Amino acid sequence: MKQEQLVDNDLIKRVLEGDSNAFKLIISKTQGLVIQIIYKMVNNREDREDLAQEVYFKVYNKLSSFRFNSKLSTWIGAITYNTCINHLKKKRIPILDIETEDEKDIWEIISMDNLNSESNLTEGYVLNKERSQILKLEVEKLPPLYKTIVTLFHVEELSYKEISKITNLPEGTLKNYLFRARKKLRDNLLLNYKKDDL
Amino acid sequence: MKTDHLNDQSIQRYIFDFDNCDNSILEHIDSCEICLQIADNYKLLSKDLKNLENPVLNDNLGDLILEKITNKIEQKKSKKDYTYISAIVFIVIGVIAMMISAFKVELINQVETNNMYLYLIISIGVFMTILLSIDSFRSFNLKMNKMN
Repeated sequence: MKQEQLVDNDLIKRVLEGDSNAFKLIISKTQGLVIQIIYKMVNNREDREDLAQEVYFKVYNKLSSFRFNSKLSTWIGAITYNTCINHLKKKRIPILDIETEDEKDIWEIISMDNLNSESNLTEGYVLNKERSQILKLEVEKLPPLYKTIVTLFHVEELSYKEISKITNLPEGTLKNYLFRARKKLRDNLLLNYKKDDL
Repeated sequence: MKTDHLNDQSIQRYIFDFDNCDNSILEHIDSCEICLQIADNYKLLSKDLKNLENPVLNDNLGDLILEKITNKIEQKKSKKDYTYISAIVFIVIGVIAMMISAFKVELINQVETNNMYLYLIISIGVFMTILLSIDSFRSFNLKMNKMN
């Protein structure tokens, strides 16, 4: 058994014996990931706060059913993701708009258009100029699912396998969505710069 | 080596999924400045994403969650302990009731002769119940203090 799994096992055992400090430790270990997922999936601030609480209530109630098929953090991530999905379904908010799903062909055309030298100069510039702020705004514009998987891969540095377990998406689909999300980000950054330039 | 430029998906695979990248992609990128530049831009994009400010829950929401969860755990535990105390009290009362009913005839005789015996038995029963309840409650409080 790996060291991390042993620690998780010990924490779970302690929580099930009624040690609330052990649960506090689980929260402090995983709240970064939980908050990231909730923030990327849900825009409303009050809903975010309620969801964070709901997630940890669920974790506490389901902890005895955890079977170590994944890391504890991945399991909690999956609970968070599913809680957010249910919330979005209730609010009738799509996690991936149809427009985004059907843009594959346009994608390739844009991709080839960008291969001329002029756009590459633009790219170089836009990726240097206040790019952190622009990027933050552009990430916010992505559909909830894209925002989440981009954050899990690039910010939380989770593997494809772990993200796949959290989102319950097949690895191939996940990689495809990640390609599209990054491409969309890059294209939007380019578009943003061109607009400023006009 | 491919003469056409790589599509975006292949360039991204080179950067983010290198283990599953074809040799033809590696060969092309090594020899194509345009594709290499796009690859570098994706690297930069990835680095910038990593450096984005992490969201934080406002007004110490993290602590609030901890507090609420802890309260809920304690509420559950205290509910459990109160159930345990109630069960003990009911058992004691039940035992006393059974004893009274078993020795009913003798008790009636005793009452006829001397009411003091009945009062004594009832008093001992009530006294034992109170003692047991206090003891259970004290051990419950001790456990809670230990947890905190």
